[in-house]
Amino acid sequence: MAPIKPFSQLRSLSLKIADIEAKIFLFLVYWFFIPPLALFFKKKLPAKNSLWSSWTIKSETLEDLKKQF
Amino acid sequence: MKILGLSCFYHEAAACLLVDGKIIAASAQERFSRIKHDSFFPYQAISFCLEIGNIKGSSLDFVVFYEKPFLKFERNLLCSLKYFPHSSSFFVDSMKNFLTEKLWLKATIASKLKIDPAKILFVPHHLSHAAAAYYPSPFNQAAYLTLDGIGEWTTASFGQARGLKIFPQSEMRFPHSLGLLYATMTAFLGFQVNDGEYKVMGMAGFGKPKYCSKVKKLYRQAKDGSLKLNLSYFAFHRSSRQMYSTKFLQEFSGLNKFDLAASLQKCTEEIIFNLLEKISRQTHKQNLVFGGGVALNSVVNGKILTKSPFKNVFIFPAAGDDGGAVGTTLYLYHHVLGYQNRQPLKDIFWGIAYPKNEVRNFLTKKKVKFQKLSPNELADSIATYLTNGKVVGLFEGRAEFGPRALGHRSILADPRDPKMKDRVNSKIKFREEFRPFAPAVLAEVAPQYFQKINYQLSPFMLGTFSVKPQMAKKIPAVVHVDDTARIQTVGKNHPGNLRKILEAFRKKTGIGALLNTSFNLRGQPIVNSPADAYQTFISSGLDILVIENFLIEK
Repeated sequence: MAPIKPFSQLRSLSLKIADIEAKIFLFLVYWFFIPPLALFFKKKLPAKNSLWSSWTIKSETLEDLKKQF
Repeated sequence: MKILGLSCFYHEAAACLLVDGKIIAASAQERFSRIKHDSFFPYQAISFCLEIGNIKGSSLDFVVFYEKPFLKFERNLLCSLKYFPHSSSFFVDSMKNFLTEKLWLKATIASKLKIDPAKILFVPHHLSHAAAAYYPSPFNQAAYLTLDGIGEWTTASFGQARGLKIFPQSEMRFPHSLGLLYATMTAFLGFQVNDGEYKVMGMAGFGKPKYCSKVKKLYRQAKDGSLKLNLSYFAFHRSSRQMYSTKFLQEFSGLNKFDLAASLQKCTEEIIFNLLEKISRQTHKQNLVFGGGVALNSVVNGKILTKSPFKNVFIFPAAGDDGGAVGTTLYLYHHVLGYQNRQPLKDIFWGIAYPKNEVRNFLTKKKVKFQKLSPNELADSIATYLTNGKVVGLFEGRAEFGPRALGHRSILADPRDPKMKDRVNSKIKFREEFRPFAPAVLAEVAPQYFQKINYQLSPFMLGTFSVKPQMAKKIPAVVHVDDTARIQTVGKNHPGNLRKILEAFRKKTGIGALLNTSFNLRGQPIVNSPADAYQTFISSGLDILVIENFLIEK
């Protein structure tokens, strides 16, 4: 692997600008697109006494482990 | 079979190389980058592991990541939706992280290591912890418990392990998390989350558990051991910048911080021992393996055998996320691929070492005056300095993996001097005055000093045990205010010079113990290279530095 080279100042500045742009974009997404979706996920916490649930992620074979979900 | 395990992008990035079932190299990225709890992609740790294995990335059979990134993405997205409109900062921060790096992890690994993407695998976070706890243990069957801040969705899990297989049974899910409860109080007490938890544990010894009833308002534990947090006191589920709510602030403001830490510690112990009761009833096992960040709570660990039904316990020394890099390789190798040759843990010196000629060249280049000593001279010489009240930085062999320094990257001092604790805290490590120090003690004399030692935990400094009252006066620098100590027993097979130094110190003083603390300054990772060690030496109050067999006096 190649060693990490330090960024130039210009590169660093453009990364900062990109970071701010990304945050503004995501902020707009949050306030304009999330509200209708949020209606479906406004469920109350489970009222049952136990919070244990069965383990569900299958991890037995190589095929299972290839999945990122 | 060559497997590389990775953990990164949350905290404690690390890499581990497993070759034919044997861990041949493992290191946290922070040791190389010098950024404490470095979470970025562990380039340097990977390079180190591949160099030790003398292999290229492309010749690895598998690369395994310690969690499922898409499941974590799902949690972040669904929590943003669920807690709308209070989750805007959480949404922005987490989506930015995921969209720029975490979701492309597979492509990043494939391109950096030049490996076929089909060879990149993902083991669930809590199974990585369970595997790190079980496969290096001496048990052929055991119950397991993992307690962590958070994995993908899982915050706690338990199950059984038999032979080569791990059988997870149940899990608790975000936001209900014992780790996050502890982390929230850590933040409230003014420490950094994922770093200051052990400071809270140290503070607890100074306080009285007066506020347990207040702490219990934060959660409810059901009879089956499961934990439900009262979310009105918390903010971590909807904010990436705030752990607790104003209600939490109102409840705990103005209280004595030491008593609050003691109350939290007492409640944590109650929760864990209730959980262990339940797990014991369900699994009918006598052996327990315990993993996840909460398993680094040495006060709890020291009480497991006396306060739970389990007869034996094993904890992997790097129980946090760095250890996930190890667990994930072991899970693939034994559970999925079915290889038989399990290797019980002997030591954790899996980090980098520097040849003596390289050390000599470094010191010569720096124009440092040094003495070269033989191994026997070295131990005797160090013991003499220690008896004269000098504080010694010891650097030798391969670095330890995990948070504890066990003699290869350690600062040693005389435990008989009552002022030594304050001296090392204020002039050498520059850290809080309440922080205790641990003793390294010859295994055969440990029962003379300490009570009810669990020898499965003590070689790795994983448990806190009571000091015998008549002995506390003899080693005051390593006895905490509550008359306990987080001991490291040093047996005859301990690699390196620590054992010889302890023996030489015992010959001179009659005391078979030394103060042993990690070789670093406050806020810095443990030293990794001779250059780090020398820099720490000259910028602190250390009197003597020993790198391999070269001794440097200030």
